[in-house]
Amino acid sequence: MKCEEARALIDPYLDGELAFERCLELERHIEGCEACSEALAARRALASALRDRLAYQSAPLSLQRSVRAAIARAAGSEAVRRAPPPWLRLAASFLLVASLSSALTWYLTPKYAGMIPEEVFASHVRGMLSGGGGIDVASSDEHTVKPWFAGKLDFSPPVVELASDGFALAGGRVDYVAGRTVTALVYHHKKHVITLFIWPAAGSARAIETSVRRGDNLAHWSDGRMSYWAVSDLNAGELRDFAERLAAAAGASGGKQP
Amino acid sequence: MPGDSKQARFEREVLPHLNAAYNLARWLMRGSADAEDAVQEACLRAYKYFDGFHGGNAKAWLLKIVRNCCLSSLAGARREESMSPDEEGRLDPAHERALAEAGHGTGSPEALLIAKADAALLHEGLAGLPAEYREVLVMREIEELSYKDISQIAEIPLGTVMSRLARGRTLLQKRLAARLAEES
Repeated sequence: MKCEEARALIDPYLDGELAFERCLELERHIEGCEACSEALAARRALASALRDRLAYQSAPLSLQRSVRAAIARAAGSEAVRRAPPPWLRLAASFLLVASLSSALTWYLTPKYAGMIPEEVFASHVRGMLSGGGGIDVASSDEHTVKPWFAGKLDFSPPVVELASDGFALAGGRVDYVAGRTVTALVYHHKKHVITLFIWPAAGSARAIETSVRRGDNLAHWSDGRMSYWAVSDLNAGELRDFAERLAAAAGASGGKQP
Repeated sequence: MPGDSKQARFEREVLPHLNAAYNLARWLMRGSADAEDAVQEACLRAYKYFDGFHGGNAKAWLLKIVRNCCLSSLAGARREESMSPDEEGRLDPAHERALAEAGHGTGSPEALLIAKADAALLHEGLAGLPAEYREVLVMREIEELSYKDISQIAEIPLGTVMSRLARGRTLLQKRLAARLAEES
C-alpha cells in the first residue's frame, strides 16, 4: 500500500467505515511508515479533542417547551378538523341521554325520515368541500378501513372493495347523520366521488330506490340489518349499478352488529 | 403500538432527538435565536410529514428536515456562504489554497499540539470552517452518525461525505496547529 492510498483510508478507518481486510492492510502500512502513523495520530488527537472538550449544545428548556406546545397545537387543530363540531357532539350526547330508542323512533317517523336524504346529501357536500371527499382513513384496503371504525362506532359496518367493478374504495370517516354516528365510505368511479353512508336499521329489507337532490343522485336501500345511502354526482344508472354491486357484495360478506 | 395517537408516536420517536436537532442547527446557524427558530419550524414540518415517515432512523430523518430549514433560513438571510452541495466535494480556490499552504508543517507533531487545544479554540476552529465541512464534521464527530446517514441528511454521495470529512479535518487540524504554535 502506498502512502497516498493509506491517507485516503485513515478517515473511514477511524470512523469505523472501512472493511475489515482494508483495515488490516492499512494497519500493516502504518506500522512501517512514520509519516502515515503521525497522520493517524493527529486525526486521533483531533477526534478525541472534539469529543471530549467541545461542549454539547443541548436544546434549552424553553425550546423544548415551545416545540411541545406547537406540536400539541398542531395535533389539536387536526383533531378539530376531523371531529364533528362541538354542537354536533353535544347534540349526540343529548340524544344518547334522552334515550336511544326514542331517538330512533323519532327518526323513523315519516315526518323526520324525510330529513335523512337532506342530511346525507349535506354530509356528502361537506366531505367534497373539505377536499378528497372528506376522508379520515385513506386506504383502498377493506382490512385497513374496517378496523379503523372499531371503537369509533357502536356497530361494525360492512366494508367491501369493488375495485374490480370499477368502484375504487378510497377511505372513510365517521359522520353524524339521522341523530347518530354513521359510517361514511368514499368510493371513486372515474372522476366521480361516491359517499356511502351506513348505519344499523332493523326491519324489513328495502329495494334500491334512487332520487335526485340538487343535481346529485341518491340511492337508498336496506338489507334488514343496515340502512344504506349512496350520494354522488354519477348519473342515476351508474349509481344504481354501484348500489346493486355493493348490496350484493355486502350481502355476501355479511354486515353484522357486534 | 396501534391505537396510539400521531402526537404520542411523534413525541416518542422524534422528540428524543431534539437535542441533536438543536446542536446541528446551532452549528449551521451560528446563532442561538436563529437556531431555535429553525428547530421549531423543523419540528412542525416534521409533525406535518410524520404520516409519511415509515420507521427507520428518526434521528437522521429529523436532522434532514432541520438542515433544510436552516438552509432556507440562511438563504433568505444572506448568500455570502455557499452551502449548496458540490458533487465532487471540491472547494472554491481560496479554500484550496489555504489547505495546500496549511499542509506545510508546523515542525512539531500535530498530534501533540492538537491535544493542547481547549474548548474555546476548538469551538472557534470548527465554527470557522466552511459550511460544507462544518456540517459533516458536526454530524460525524459530535452526533456520531454513520456515513450513510450523513449522506442522506446532506443529500450528497458517500464518496463526498468521505472526502469532505477528510478535507475538513485536515483544514481544522492545520488551523488549530497553527494557532497553538503561535501561542507557544
